[in-house]
This record gives sequence, C-alpha cells and structure tokens, in this order.
Amino acid sequence: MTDSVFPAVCELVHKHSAELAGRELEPDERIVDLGIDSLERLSLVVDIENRFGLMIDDADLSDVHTVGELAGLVRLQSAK
Amino acid sequence: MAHVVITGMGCVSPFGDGVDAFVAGLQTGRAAEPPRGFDVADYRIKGVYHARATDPDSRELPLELAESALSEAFRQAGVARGEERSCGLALASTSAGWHLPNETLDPARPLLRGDADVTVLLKEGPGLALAERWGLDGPHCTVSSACASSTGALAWATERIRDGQTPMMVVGAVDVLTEVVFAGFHSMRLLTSGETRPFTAGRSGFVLAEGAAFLVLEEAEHARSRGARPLALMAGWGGSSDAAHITTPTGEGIARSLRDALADSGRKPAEVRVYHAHGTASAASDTAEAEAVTEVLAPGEETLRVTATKSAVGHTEGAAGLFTAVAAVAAIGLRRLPPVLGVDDAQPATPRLPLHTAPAEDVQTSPALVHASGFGGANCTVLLDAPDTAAPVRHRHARPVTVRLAVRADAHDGVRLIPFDRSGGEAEAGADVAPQAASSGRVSRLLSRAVGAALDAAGPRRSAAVRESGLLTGTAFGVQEHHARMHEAIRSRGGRSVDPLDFARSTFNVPVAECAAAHRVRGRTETHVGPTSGAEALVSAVGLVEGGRHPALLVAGYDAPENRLWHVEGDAPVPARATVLLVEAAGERPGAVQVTGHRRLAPTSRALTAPAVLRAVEELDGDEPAEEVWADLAGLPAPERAAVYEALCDRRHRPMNANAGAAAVLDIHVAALTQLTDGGPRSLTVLSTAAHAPGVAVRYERGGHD
Repeated sequence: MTDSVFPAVCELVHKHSAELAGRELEPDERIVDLGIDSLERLSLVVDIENRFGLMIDDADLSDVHTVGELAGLVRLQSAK
Repeated sequence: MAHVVITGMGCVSPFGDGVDAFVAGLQTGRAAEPPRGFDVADYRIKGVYHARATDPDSRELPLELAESALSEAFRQAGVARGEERSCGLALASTSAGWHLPNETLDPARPLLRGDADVTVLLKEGPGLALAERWGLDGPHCTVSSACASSTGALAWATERIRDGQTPMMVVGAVDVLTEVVFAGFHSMRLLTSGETRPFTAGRSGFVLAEGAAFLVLEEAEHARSRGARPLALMAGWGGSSDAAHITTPTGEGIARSLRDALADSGRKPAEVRVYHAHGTASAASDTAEAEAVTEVLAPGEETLRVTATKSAVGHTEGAAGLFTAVAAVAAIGLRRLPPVLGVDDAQPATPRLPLHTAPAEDVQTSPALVHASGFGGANCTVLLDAPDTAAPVRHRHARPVTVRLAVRADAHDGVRLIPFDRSGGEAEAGADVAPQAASSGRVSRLLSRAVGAALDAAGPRRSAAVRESGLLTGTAFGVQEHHARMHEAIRSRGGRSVDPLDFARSTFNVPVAECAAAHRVRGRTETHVGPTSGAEALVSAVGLVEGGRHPALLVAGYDAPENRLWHVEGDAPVPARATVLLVEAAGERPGAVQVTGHRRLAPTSRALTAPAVLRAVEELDGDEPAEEVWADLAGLPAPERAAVYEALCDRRHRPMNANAGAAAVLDIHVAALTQLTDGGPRSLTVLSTAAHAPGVAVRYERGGHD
C-alpha cells in the first residue's frame, strides 16, 4: 500500500470520526466500526468524490465495507 | 366531540391539474423530465416530476399551485370565495421560498426595505396569501416537519374542529422542486435514476416531485346543514417521534404512530382494510415501515391491502402525506384502490406486505390508514373512513390546564429554571440523559439543554408521562444555516459538493428531533413556523391537554441569528435562545396559575384589526375583565395599534415589543406567568402578534385562595 490514495482516504475518514484522532487505520478495518454511521458515511463519500474528482454510483458503494475497499474503489474509478 | 368529514379536495400534481388527472395518473405513472430551474450535468440523477404549472417561472409558483388546488377543493365543497369567514387554514410546506434561492438562502444579500413584499420569501407565504384572498379568518398555521408535514397539518386542523373553534378548515400542502432539496436528497443517495418502486426487490430510491393539494375538513353537522356531500370521515390521527436517528427511521416509532391513530379513531387493527404507505423505496425506510405494518396490522392480514402512491407520483416532499390522503379519499368514493406500480415477484428481505397490484380487483377501500414519516423520525398517521361510517361517540370534557414550569436556555446566560408551582410537589434528581451529539447546531443544543432541564425539574414520574406525550415547538427561522451552506456549495463547487450532513440537519424539525432523541421523547413532535409560532405551539398543547388527549406536554420556541438569512431593515434582533414550558392538567392546588382561555387571530387584514383584537380580549374577559393586558401589537398597522391602546387606556395594560424569533414570544408568556405566581395581578391576558403571522391571545388566572 505505497500509493497516495490510501493515506488520502484515511485522512478523510479521520475527518468523519472524532474518536479516531491520532490513530493509524488498517485497510481491513470496517468503516462501520470506526464510529461512522450511515449518514456520516454518505458525507464521507461526498468528500471522496470531491477530493478525487469522481462520480461514484450507488451500486459500486454497496460492496464497500472496509477502508481498504474504499481506497480500492477510488483507484478503480480514477483509472477509468 | 365533533365528527369531522371531508367535503372537498383539489390538487395540482405531476399528472396535471385536478384530482381526476391525479387519480388517473396513479394507475399509470409517468416519465421523468429534466428539472427546469437548474442544470443536472453534474448529478448522477437527471430526472424529476414537475407539476404542470401555467407559469413555471413565476416568483409565486408555490402560491399559484396552492391557489389552483384550493379552488378545486372549495368548488367541490360548494364554498364560494369569502363565503365561510370562520374557515381556517393549515399549511404544510418544507420548500416555499427556497424556489428563490438567491433571495432567501444567501446571508450576504442586502437588507430588504420596509416596503418589500416578503410573503413570497416565507415558508408561510402561500398560506398567508390564500387566507387573505379567500377570506379565511379562522385558525391559521404553517407546520414543517419534513415529509410528515402534511399529515401533521391534517391533525392540527382536525383538532380545531373537534375543539369547536371552527366548523370548517382547509388543509393544504405545497412543495416545489428546488436545487437545494434535489442536491440534498442526491447527496443522501435517496434518488433513483429509474422509477420509484417501494417494497420491491428493484427499489433504488424515489423520483423527486412537486405539487400542491388541499382538503376541506368540516364538522359533520355543519356539512349536513348546508347540504354538502361528505366524501370521507376523518376518523382520527396519531403521531410519534422515533427518538432515535435523524435519517434512519425505526419500525417501532412508526408502529406507535399507527397505534395512536387507531386509538384516536376507536378502531381495532383487524378492522383496517387499506394501508396507504409512505413507501419511499429506500431500504431503511421501507424496512422500518414494513416491520411496523406487519407488527401493528398483522391481525388483519387476510383482508388488508397495502398501496403506495409514490410508485406513480414520486415524492412530493412535505406534500406527500396530503397527496396520499387525496388518493385515499378518492379511492373511498370510487371503491377502487390505486395499485403499487412495478411490483416484481421477489420482494426483498423486508417483511412481506400484501401489496395491491391489480387495479381491477374488487377490494374494500376503508377504513384506510395514511402514513407519513419525515427526517428527524417524525411520524404522523391519519385514519380515513367511508362518509357514512358511524364514528364512535366520545365526549370532550374541558379540564383546567396549568403551566408548571419554564426553562430558558440562552447562549449568554446559560440555563434558567423558572418554576410556577410553588407548592413544593415532586422535585427530584435529574434523569439519566444521553449527551447531545457535539456536531449538532446551536439551536439544537439550546433546545436540548432547556428540555433536559425541564424534564429534570419535572421529576421522574411526570417526565416519563411527558416523554410519551410529546414536544410541540415553534421556530421563525429553523436551521437555515445549513441551507446557506448548501446554497453556497452549489454556487461555488457544484451540486454534488453538498454535504448530506447539512441536508439531514436542515429540515425545520431537526432541532426537536435531535432533542427527542437525546431525551427519549417518544410522543408526537410538531414544528410550527413563523414569528408567533411559539405561542401557537403553546395553545396547541393547551388544547390537547384540556381535551384529555395528553396529561402533559412540552412546548418550546427556539431561534438563533445564524438561521435568519434575510430580513427587513429595522427588524428586531434575534436572541440565540430556546424557551420551554411544561403544560399539564391542573390539579387541585390552591394558588396555581391556570390557562383559562385562548383565542386565535387569523393573519388577515380582516382578523388582525383593532376591533378583532379587542373582541378577543373581551371574550376572554367574560364576566371578569383581566386585571392586566400585555399586548404586543407588532402585527397590526399603526392606526389599528393606536386604536387598541386607546380602547385599553382605562384598564391596566402594558405594550410589549418582542424580539424576533419564536422563543422571544414565549418569553413574554413566561414573564406574565412569573408576575402571576409572584402575587401580582390575579388575572392577565397576553396578546402576541407579529407581521405576517397569526395572532394568539391567552388568558391566565391565579385561582383559589392563596
């Protein structure tokens, strides 16, 4: 995981959960376990879209559960 | 207690003008179209359902849609313009005013001058204009509880007929398509690029729509005496607050609303034949609603049919509940139910509902429940029945009502408890209360602190009863700081930059919802809108306690300057404040202050006059004039104001001048109650008026021998 996407995604995840302050995230951590509820998660997706200039479809989000999967989706969509 | 019937209905829907076009459209649905007022290139979703307006670019679009719907409803009811002066109007709207975003959502816009026409900018605007045009001088209000707004307006109007204030009410709802709302629902991924398919495996959200609908509600004997044909019986209503999450509804909360409506209507679950669902085709909402219907109406599953109008007409936002009520009333008359469109065989993992899919099938169309849920976990349900149904006879015994205490939470002075019951009574330690989310807005925090202190001071037994009964609020400016942020995001970075957190926290009822969640207030919550709305919340609560529906209720007004995005030069400042009162049935305590009467004054040029104000005061006086009159006459033209003061000059009166905001109006009532409790005058009438708002007069009296 040496690319710039994962740290950038982690930075945005941190912004959405006060309880993560100062803690490093692992790719396999589930977003729902990080103090991010359904509404906060939607706000995170808007931030991700804005940061990376993407338009993410609802269907693609349904398979995203972990921070790593979120970063993976960003890489996939950025490559399109 | 008066029976309430429906004698007229009208609408302008995405299917065109009139109820006939709406009912026909429910059988077929329609194709989506691009929004008129904004570009969708930046959005994933491209289509909406516009209402068929004659002049879609009109500055007065909400009013024009509402006018057309009201005309049709009155035509059917056989009421000519100006013919029923005692008729009132209840309006539900979430979006009126936001159709002019550069004028209403930009805090940097210049101050308006005193001669500006501001009604077009107000959420209450369509109701104010219609009352003036149609001569509707009866009880008047605007409610805004997100997508549960219009069933809430039906409930409020029903109570005004039941309590004998008027024999006739019109209830309207209007919402128009605006980019802030489209972008908000888009950011929450609640919109579909296809069609609205509630309760089906293929559901993917809803199509955003707009329109206006009106119903005429009438006391049954009044309708009979003027030869009007009842179309349906408005049998009862129920409401609840999820007291959970602001955007994830709960089945348990919806179930309580359904049960409350059944209880109020004197109906058993097994008797219900139709459930007209909220049905937004979002996974969370459909699942919660299906659970509630299965739990509450299971005994009737053999004979129950579920239908969902949004499958055809999309989501008309705050007007959705009233459109569904129109569909339910039409179904009762036609003996034919609108189908749920696009149902496939494989329903998803929600509890399976008996969806009505065959339009030709011969099914019973009543008794029918119409349910609406809104952001914030607001639920309100009405029960409609065939017009010839014998409604249960119930007697309404007006019982005395008192205000037990008030709490003021202020940005500068902190929280202050003001008890009006000095007899000791129950004063116990505070309850265990969940902390408010730190990210909540300021008005939410103020309201929550005030309500928390009021519940603490009420003691465990009383506070438990209050939590189950509910919290009625008023606000002049809502939480529009969020709208300003959404508007700014759209302008500077494009509609897809709107933060869903801003949208979720933007509906006017979110402060009461966040407060209900923090303090587990599970009873009904309602949000009245306008400068005098705090006083309306107060007299609404008095009516419900007086009539025996609840033992006690919380009432609140809140506002803060960051939510006033525009104002007129010379307007009073807005304190950042929430003021809460606890209204309850009066016991036998000597010296307690009672609410001995109240009067509503419509916001029309005929009803807000010196003679009308003086008549209200005199009616409240009865045989014994109030020792003092506190009058805020800001809602009257200067000559009328002078005439009132002149007429009051031979009795003790005090001119009042409330600050802006719904809390400031209640603060005057708190000051009056304090005077009475402290042994000042024995009786006092408080009159609250403001520009572009209904007026409220309340008489308080210190009873017994103290």
